[in-house]
Amino acid sequence: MNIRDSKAEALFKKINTVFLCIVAVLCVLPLVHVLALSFSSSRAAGAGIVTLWPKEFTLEAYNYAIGRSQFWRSMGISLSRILVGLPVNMVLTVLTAYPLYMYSRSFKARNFYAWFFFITILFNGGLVPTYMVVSMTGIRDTLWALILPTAVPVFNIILLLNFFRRLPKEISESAYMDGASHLRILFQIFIPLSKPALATLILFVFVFHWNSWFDGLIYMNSSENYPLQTYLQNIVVARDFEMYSSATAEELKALAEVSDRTTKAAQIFIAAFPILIIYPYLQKHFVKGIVVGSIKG
Amino acid sequence: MNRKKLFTVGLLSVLVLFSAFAGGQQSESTEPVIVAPGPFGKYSPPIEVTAFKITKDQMSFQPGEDLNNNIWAKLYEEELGVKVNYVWTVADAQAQNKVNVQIAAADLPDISTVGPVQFKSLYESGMIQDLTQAWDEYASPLVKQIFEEEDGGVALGQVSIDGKLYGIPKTRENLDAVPLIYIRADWLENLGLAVPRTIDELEAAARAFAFDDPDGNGEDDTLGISFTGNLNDPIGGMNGLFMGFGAYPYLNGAKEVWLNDPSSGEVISASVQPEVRQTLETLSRWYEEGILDREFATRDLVKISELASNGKLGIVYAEHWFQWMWPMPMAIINVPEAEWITIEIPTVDGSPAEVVLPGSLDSTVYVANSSMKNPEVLVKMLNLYVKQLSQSSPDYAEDYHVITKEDGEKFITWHYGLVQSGTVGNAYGTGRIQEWYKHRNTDYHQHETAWVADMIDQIRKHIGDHEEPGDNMWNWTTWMWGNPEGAYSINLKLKDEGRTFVNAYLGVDTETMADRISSLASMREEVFTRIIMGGQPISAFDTYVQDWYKLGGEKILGEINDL
Repeated sequence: MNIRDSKAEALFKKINTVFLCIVAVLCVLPLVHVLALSFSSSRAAGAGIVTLWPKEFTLEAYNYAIGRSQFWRSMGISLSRILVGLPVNMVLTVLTAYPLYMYSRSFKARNFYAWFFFITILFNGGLVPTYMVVSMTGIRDTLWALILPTAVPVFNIILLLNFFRRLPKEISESAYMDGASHLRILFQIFIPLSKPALATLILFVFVFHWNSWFDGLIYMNSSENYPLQTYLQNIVVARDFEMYSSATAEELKALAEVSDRTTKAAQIFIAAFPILIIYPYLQKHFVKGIVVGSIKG
Repeated sequence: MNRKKLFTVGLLSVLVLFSAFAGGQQSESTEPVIVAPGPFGKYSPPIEVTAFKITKDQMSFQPGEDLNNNIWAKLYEEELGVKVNYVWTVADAQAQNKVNVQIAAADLPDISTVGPVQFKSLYESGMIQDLTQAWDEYASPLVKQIFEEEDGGVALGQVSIDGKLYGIPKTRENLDAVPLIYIRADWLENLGLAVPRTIDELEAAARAFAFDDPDGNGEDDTLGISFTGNLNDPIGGMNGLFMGFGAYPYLNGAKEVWLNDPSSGEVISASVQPEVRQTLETLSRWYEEGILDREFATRDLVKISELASNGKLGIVYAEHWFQWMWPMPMAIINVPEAEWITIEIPTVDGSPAEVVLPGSLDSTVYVANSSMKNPEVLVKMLNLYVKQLSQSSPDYAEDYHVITKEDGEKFITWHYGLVQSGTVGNAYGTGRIQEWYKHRNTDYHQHETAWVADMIDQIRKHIGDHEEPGDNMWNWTTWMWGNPEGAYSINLKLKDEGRTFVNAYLGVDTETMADRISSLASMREEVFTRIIMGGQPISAFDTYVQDWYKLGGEKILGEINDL
């Protein structure tokens, strides 16, 4: 950092900073807009005059969202999905990454297993066969349908095994010489040393489970069992206006009553809240998890 | 999501073969089939059928009730001896995804509710069975009268393949598709203009709305006329404008409109006719002069409603339900002085407009799984539905339509029915309201259905002859819709004067049609939009016509006319 930047470099840095700031603002603006909508009166929202600051401030939309039992039901299902799914994912990730981190000279079948897992990234069964497997194993309409099909996150395994490989070999070798078993090496050396990487993966898994909606739609038999994002997708999805054309007057009125933007915005925001909370806590690890890897003293 | 959809559809065709095997294995059962003769015959012992339900937002249940336990479920059980077991449900907005996956996985219950495209693929994969015999034997006289005589077999024809009936069509009042104009009468008055009867007068009004400050606020903040970028939407669609020129390229929900050519007796395509060229020329001039909203290509239905609701837009082509398109109901709150009226679409020469309507199939078909033992259950359910809810049935029972609790809470019960049909429709409701208008009596609660009485209540509140007057926006919307000059009255007027005709080809897609019609339609959208926005001269239309015939149009017409 002591080296002085040339003029061109300085200029580049300035432009870069401005550019990245703009990108960052673009990322935040939609969220701010949704937040402003959720605190505005439905009149102001319908009139399209709400931009980044609430107009005619009211908590009505939140009252409505909080009063919807299905919203909380779906929230509960999403939370239990994470409570069960996160440990399942993480345990399987760690247990699979450890043997695969070794080279094939110490673990003969390593390459076979590595490809066995890796190939599922390139090719998967596809939507319908997967659906049929889930259906025929009898886990449809249960929480397991949301957890088991994605129980082994191969991409995460690759991230972790690469992280393991970058840990100093000397540590595990000396532990091995001293008679430590593989389990001991894994749990007492690797895991404590991999905290940043594991935190990153937890974040990935958390966001993945929280944001999935399509599996909820196809595996669940009734909307009562939808996880939160599937529920939200239903209320915010662009409707097929063809169906309005043949609706009766009473239906049309009912449709008009539910298409209120402010309540949608409130529910979207409440749903985004857990992620907003968890990010700052895991973010510091997130940065480390990617950077750390070189041998330290 | 789109990719997923494509993917699903692709797999669907691959799995056709697989499903044939799956179907074959299931039907090897030797249990005797229970029969119950007659349109309303009861099964004894009762039988169970499985189905799925596409739920709607406005579907709610009374405390203690649910989909398997409600007024309709009881009716099926008590009258027909049929216990319906709903194996899964899905909300209507998400239904296509879910149903496509289920079809692809060949995992369907006895009775399925599908769309026309799904219907065709189910037929091709042999997953649904022929209902012709069930229909002939079990359809009640009233049902036969409605479907075969009043509808002229149009809807049945839309779900028949090679003369055999493969599904029960859900019908609708196709009259709902009549395009109207919603226009600001107060703006016309401010500018000293008459209600437009011709396209020229409409142009004058639009020009004045765009440039002469119709709201008198001293700002140039109003648009002349606007449409959705889709060109073919029920709100803000261009179909009404085209129809004013005697051109019929657009009809909501149709990829192409087919007309009967009176001179040759053949079916012709509507989008390649010279009247279309004339309309496009006018539109492109409007666009150039700024009468047509320059940003129309980016508008959608919601945006159009917003603009109209906020007093920025004063002319909207729309179907009769525009006042309910959120945030349009807010119009009377946002702009209290706004006075919206509905008028017939103007024509080039001021002669009464003629409009084209879609078929009576409401994009929903009820089909019986090929393994179902009692396919006549579908017909019997339809019999029952029509018996309870048809306005021409002596057994009409309000409770099966809507239940209103003492505290005013409403439960729209007809949603619970499995095999439905367009029975109590908008034409009936408006007809009753107009009957009331003639006498303005106050005892309507006694002899009208609760639904109609409720609307009359709202209208009376709006016009101020009710005990509790008030300009609630919902009162206004109902008044807009039901008053004798209102939206639906115009639809009825067109029907009474015989100024409607039906799309000339409504059958299942022919071979080339299934193959090409989507690409032909997107070519049309592209060319038309470019012509309107000045990207291409009007001569591009002539090229379009040639291309249309060359790229499959000719062949499609041949196939239709050979039928």
